[in-house]
Amino acid sequence: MLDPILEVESLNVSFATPDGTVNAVNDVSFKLRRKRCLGVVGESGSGKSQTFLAVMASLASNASCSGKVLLDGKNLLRLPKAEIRQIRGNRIAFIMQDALTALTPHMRIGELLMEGLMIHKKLSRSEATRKILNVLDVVRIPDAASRINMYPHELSGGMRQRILIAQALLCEPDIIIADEPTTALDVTVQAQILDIFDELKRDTDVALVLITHDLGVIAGRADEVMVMYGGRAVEKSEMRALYVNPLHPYTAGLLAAMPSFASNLGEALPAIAGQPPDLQSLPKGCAFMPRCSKAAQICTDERPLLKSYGDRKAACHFAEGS
Amino acid sequence: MFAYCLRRILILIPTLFIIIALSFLLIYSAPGGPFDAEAALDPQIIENLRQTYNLDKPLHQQFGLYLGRLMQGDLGPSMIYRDFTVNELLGASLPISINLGLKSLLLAILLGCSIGIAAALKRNSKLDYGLMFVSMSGIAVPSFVVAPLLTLFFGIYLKEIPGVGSYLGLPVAGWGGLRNQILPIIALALPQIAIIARLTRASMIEVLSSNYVRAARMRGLPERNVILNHALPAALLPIISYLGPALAGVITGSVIIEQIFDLPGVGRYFVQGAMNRDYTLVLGIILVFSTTVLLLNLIVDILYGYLDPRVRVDE
Ligand SMILES: Nc1ncnc2c1ncn2[C@@H]1O[C@H](COP(=O)(O)OP(=O)(O)OP(=O)(O)O)[C@@H](O)[C@H]1O
Ligand SMILES: [Mg+2]
Repeated sequence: MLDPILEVESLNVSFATPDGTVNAVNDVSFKLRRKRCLGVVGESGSGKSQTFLAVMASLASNASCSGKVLLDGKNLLRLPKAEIRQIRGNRIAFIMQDALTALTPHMRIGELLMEGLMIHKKLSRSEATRKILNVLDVVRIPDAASRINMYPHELSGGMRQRILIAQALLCEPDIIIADEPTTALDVTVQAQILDIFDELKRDTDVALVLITHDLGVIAGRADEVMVMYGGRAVEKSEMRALYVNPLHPYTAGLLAAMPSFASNLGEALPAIAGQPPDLQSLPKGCAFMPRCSKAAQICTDERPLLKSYGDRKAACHFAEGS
Repeated sequence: MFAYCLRRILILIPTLFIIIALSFLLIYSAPGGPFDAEAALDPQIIENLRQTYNLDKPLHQQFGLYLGRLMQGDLGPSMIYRDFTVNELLGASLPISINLGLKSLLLAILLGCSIGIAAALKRNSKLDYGLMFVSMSGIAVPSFVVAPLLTLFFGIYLKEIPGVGSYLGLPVAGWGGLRNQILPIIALALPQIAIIARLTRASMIEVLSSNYVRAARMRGLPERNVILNHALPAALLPIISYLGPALAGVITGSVIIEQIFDLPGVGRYFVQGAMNRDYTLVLGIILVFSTTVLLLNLIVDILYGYLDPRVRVDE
């Protein structure tokens, strides 16, 4: 297997708020490799976005974080601003969660694509235009030459998402992080967008991160899956094994809630009952305990650590490897 | 776009008509008349004067006569400055008021926006709090307080300094070169600077926390690009739509400021005209003021559509 291109070691992110500290990310570690796709799954508020915003050193101003994010042996969390800027968009591209508002409304698509290339790659306008038209072809934007003169509001949601992906591809980064790239789109457009990621994986050697709350999005696409709950990674597993035999009860719950699993049963989707944990006062024991069918006394007393089961990992007292 | 402009210009006509009709009614129904001050005059002479100016006719007839002349661009004779027509009076005083007003507005926009942007970029710093405290005071303290204070400081205290006083001190009254204009321009611009600064700060802060500015930073663009290309154009849009009210503010302010600094502008005639019931003069000035404000609002709307592609009107 290729050496990791990015290593994250025991990352913690917390936010200072008037009502106390929000522990959004707790002791998360993972590695990204070229040509591999990491799927990150978890329900809303589980810390998926903040984990990767920390990787980009782009957290909100009330955040503090610790741990290591190593790229080429350098810790991005300690890097001066000027050096971080040369990595953002250039070595690591981040496709923001809210595609509809991520494009500056008063700038033309062409300008929005151009600026990154001119700043990071020092291309001339004509070289940049050629490159832009190429990339717009990769993300399947028809009639690209006229679209680059349009404003964002003149494009549909799916088109805007494609523009964001094009923006991420332009500087040929080593890593692309896509935060819920399909959430706001209807099913057919979702499939088209996901096809683009499949082609990227096949045709380039970029390391890909797909963040989603829907296991269906990464099924058959991710190589490895990290399941997050309450700001922690509760299961890390090769994708197929995770689908066949989830180690953590939360993963099992997510799988059961997938449409394709339940639809042939003709029943309503069994959503996981209960509320996500309060990140301001995480319990001493397992954060998933109140919602877990396997819960026992030990779950209240002792927080399960992330343990290895073969080449998989899970944080549950009752996990059994196979 | 052309049809849109034409429609907007045509709407101006009924708007102006309503403004004139209401003002006409208001000023003619105010107690007293233009010749009250001349009580010593023979009642017969006053009666003759009233006939000359059509004041003896019923109100609707007077209004008809006024409109008829207005159609020909004639604002009528002044009833107080009896040797002049209103057109002549305005012709002499309007250039001065326009000069003063435009310079104040320009100063207010330049300074107000700069202060607002600086405060937003250094949000919650001492600089921010300082600037916002000063501009809060600028809004709260009326110009008839600020103007005499400016006069006192620049016109009197600075003049007293031996040696350099004649350079530092500024004239406090009368119209002339740029040195005469400095104090009235500042006094007129001050409240607008303060309002524009606060508007700009608020809108800049909002834009800086928007998703697309975050996205621009996440693409590794230098802060200068982020602010100049992504944040500023969006942040300044609300300022453009404030230009209409700002002009109205400057016009209202000029009425007082011209009085204080003894400038022969429209504002002073307005005060004189209103106090002495110079019906035609007051109506003429109201007409000029309201046309200016309406036209500026029209220009602002068109400009806004040009700057914000989302509200652009296409046919
Ligand atoms: N600036 C902030 N101040 C305080 N709390 C914050 C801040 N930003 C995020 N949080 C909290 O951190 C937690 C994790 O947020 P995060 O955005 O990572 O969730 P997510 O897993 O991406 O969820 P979603 O699927 O809704 O995007 C949330 O509970 C959120 O309320
Ligand atoms: Mg998120």
